[in-house]
Amino acid sequence: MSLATLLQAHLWTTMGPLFVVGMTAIVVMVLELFLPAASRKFIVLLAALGVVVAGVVLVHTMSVPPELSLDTMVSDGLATVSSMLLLATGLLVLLLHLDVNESEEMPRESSFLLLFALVGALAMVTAVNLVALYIGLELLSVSSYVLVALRKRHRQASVEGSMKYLVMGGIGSAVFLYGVSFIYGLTGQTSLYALAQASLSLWQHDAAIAVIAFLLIVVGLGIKLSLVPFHMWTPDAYEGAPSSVAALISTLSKTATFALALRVLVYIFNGGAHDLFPYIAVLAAITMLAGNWLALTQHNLRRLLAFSSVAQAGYLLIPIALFGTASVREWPDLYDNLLFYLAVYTFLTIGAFAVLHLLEHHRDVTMADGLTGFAKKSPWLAASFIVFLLGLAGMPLTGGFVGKFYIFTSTVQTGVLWLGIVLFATSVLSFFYYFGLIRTMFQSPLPTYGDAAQGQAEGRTPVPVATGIVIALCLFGTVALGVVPGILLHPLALVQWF
Amino acid sequence: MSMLALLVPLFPLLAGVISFFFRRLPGAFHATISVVLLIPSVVFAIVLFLYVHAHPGVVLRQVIPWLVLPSFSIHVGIQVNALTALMLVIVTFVSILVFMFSYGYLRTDERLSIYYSYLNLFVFSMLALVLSPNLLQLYLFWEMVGLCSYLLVGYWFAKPEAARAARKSFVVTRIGDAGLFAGILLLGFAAGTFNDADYSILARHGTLALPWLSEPYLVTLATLLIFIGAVGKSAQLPLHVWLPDAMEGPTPVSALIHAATMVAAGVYLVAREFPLFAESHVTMTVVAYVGAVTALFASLIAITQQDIKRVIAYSTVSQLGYMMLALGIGAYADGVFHLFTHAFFKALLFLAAGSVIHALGGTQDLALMGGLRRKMPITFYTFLAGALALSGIFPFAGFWSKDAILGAAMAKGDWVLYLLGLIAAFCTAFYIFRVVFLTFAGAPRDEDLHAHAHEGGWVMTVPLVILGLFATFAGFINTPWNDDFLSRFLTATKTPKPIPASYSHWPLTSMAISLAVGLCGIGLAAWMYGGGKGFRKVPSAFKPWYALSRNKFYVDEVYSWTVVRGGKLLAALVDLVDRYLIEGLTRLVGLFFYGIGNVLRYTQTGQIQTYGTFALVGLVVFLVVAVFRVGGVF
Repeated sequence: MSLATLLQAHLWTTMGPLFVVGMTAIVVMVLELFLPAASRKFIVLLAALGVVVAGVVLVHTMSVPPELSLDTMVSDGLATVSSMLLLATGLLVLLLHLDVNESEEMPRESSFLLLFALVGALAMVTAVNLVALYIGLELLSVSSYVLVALRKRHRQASVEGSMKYLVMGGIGSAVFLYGVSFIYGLTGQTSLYALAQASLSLWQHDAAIAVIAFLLIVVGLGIKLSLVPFHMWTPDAYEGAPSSVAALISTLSKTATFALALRVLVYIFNGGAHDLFPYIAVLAAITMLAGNWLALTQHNLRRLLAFSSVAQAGYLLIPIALFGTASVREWPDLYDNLLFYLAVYTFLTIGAFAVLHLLEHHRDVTMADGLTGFAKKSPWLAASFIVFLLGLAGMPLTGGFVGKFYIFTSTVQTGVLWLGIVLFATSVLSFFYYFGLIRTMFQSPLPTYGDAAQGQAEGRTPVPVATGIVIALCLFGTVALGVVPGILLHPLALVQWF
Repeated sequence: MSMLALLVPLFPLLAGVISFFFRRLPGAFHATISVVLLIPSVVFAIVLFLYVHAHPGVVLRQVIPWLVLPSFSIHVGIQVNALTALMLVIVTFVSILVFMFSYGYLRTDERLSIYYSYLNLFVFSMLALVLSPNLLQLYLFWEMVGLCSYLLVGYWFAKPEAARAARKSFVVTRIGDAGLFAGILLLGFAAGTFNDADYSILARHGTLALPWLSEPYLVTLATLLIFIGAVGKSAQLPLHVWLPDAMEGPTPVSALIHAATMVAAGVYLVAREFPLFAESHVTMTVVAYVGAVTALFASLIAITQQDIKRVIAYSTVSQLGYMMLALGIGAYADGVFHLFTHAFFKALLFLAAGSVIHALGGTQDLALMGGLRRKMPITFYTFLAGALALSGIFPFAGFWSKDAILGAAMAKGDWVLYLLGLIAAFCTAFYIFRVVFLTFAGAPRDEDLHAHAHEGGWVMTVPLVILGLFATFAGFINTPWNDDFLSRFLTATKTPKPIPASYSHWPLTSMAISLAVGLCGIGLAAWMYGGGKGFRKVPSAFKPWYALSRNKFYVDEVYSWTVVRGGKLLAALVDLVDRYLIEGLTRLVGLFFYGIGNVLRYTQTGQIQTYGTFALVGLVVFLVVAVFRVGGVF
């Protein structure tokens, strides 16, 4: 079998987008060596173009029935839908990066690293083999560690954040790998399909080791997903990272890791789901509570968004936790819930980071009190920020509400109401800090004198075109998913997830 | 065709958005764009009307799912039937004239762009309300109509009375809205849908019930709740108090509120739910009596008011009472017919009054008017046409519709209702001609104001003349001699209770009586106020009665002493509870959460060693739990 036929037969369907993004990354990497620094914009746009082409390829392969190639890569519903979301995320992040790149004077490596992170993420959602999954996870992680460190203008914080991320991420990878090695030791299998078949017998014969493996895998992924108490690197990394990278690690890596977690945990451990998944439910509850509590006392905007994303990870974990009690008939609903909320969360978070970037760069605002007078000076920008914050809080008419609402209905349907109540209660709690920010935007600035007037003297914040497009798209996504959630829910309901 | 219906409300919305965003442009631009963009709406509304007429019984319906849940789904979209088509014509037609007139009236106002964007939003909301395919969507736009009326009544918000009136209109109608919402939810839960076209069918099959409420009670309760909403919106007793105060807004707004947009919504709602209302005898009786008593009560108040707009405002309350009366006795088509004619002559009366107020530099006091007939002939003759229509004098529009209602009451043999209506008709003729004589006849009572009086230019007189023509001739659309065209149009899809065969002998008798009563009212007004006599001293025997009417039967005072004071007392109590108990608790909770947050914050040391330790401890705790868990694995 020649390479060409192999490509046509299987790999193109399952790995087409991955190839395209990977090739673009290599082209970008090589080009960057030769092109002058002034052509930075061109490089990023080229990268974005690659992502768009990958999207076209993905849409093209959607019409083909799901395939499994090399017993490793698959093009089932979860893979396709997550890839779609990842590519959209990648595109938004690259567009945001266009301006961030400029203003942070980032070294040139940043563009292809972003693409490699995307490749890793795509591998995480398409692979059904533990080794391939792990490689994808590492590719994403390592690219992210470096990307966090690239913020030239805030070198110290940037390197510190990167270092902490690296150490904790390393621990996470190690723990995950340790758990996986138990599974391999017990079954001699790395294919998730084989493991899914062996799941019941694994649970019946080696329950004790299965529990240990399960917990190790959960903790390993928990570190990547910044679940409490494995979340502590999050605020430091977010604070140090350039805005586009912060957006990347809070959306792209979350989507990929959640899809991976869903696949790995459900495939391998569905035999003992009833006993095992309550651990995840507890983890979700702790994460929701602590994440929101921590955000409550935060005044630094980035750290606040970091803790808010910790809390959001808790909400996102609920659908996975519900696999413990859900019947197989209800599984598709949980997939729907997770992917819908991930999509909403992506729009909200990237939008919020885009606004935050403008605030930091053009107004030098890093703390919440710097927001005073924002609503008056830049009403449109402030309005967008308010929409994103309201969405994160879960106000009706934003996608955030619909997403949480559907997750809540699922908790009711699967009989884990207490988790729904925690979701509801902590959402109420989150209103305090989101609305605190909104209130600050409408307050008039305190009378300041001399240098203290930083960030408040200027008038309207200028909005670069690309960033404006990102904000507009995120705004559209947020509101559209809130007002007519059917545009995403109906297609999701038709997806053949597994 | 349904696309056309969708476009009807979108044009004013577009105009409103344009006005809102281009605030710098001059007022003439806003007026022009509002009028021009409303023209296609009027045309489409008329096309729809003709289409529905050509296809009797047709219901155009176009909906898309908005929220789909396992148990039920909510749709949004549009729906056009005969009633809707008629309402579209009324609303767009009156609105366009009001839009025109407004420019003349408010030419110098600085915030004209905001005014027009509110006005357009108002019209959009009303049109969307009329087109709603289900009650939930209707409720949404119902609230938007309320909001717009709040904004427009309080347009001159710097005036304390205007701000107060706006608040009052909002709060009082909210009382009704609460009832309406409860009714909608009740029906929604019972029927499993908000699609109100299904309700009457379900009710007829006896399946409209809840586990704890059986069919007849549920229908009665739900329709009464909905009626409370209509009472609030259409200013019926006892929630009529907001409407006369709402005239604090600019006069064209009053014309819009009183004729086309706001108060018509209540009557429209009852007419729309008529098939369901007809299933409950109790509700129908309540509707009829509330309407009749309101008609009389408000006309008695109007007799003595000294503010020209206030008289007309109470006359609206009274006329709306007639419509409710008609719906309550099952004369569905007659009620809607009166809504139709009333829209024209009431808009006319308000705009003509506006023309007078404009000419006199803003005064609304009848005591300062008089002798304007020669100075403002167009205003005078159009106002006269409106007054004759309101009094129900042949052949003006009001004659046909009001007589149809009284005739229906007579045919039904309900003499109490008939008499209430008849006395109200007498009072109506009297109070409106009292205004006519005091405003236009005799010698001016304030020379200064009179000297400056003038017509307001063509933007103001053209709408007056058009409305004057309609107030004169619109009634011919529905006479016994063209086999009640409008009734046939309306009832092609609806089945009102059959009116006894004996009715066919009644019209002439009834018409003669109504006409005579109306003429008597005018005669009395002429005798008392005609020939420039101005205000008369009230004979001492009548003084208490006069005061009673003058002070609007002290309803506001009663409310102020009971509802408002009671409310304030309750509020004070609740405030105490809130301040010391609830706020204490929230503070405690807040402190608690902040405390925990602070404690958690100390774990965030910034030391990577701590981070690792916490992660490890987390893992160990999980493993320990796994070991010792009930039915543990080891």
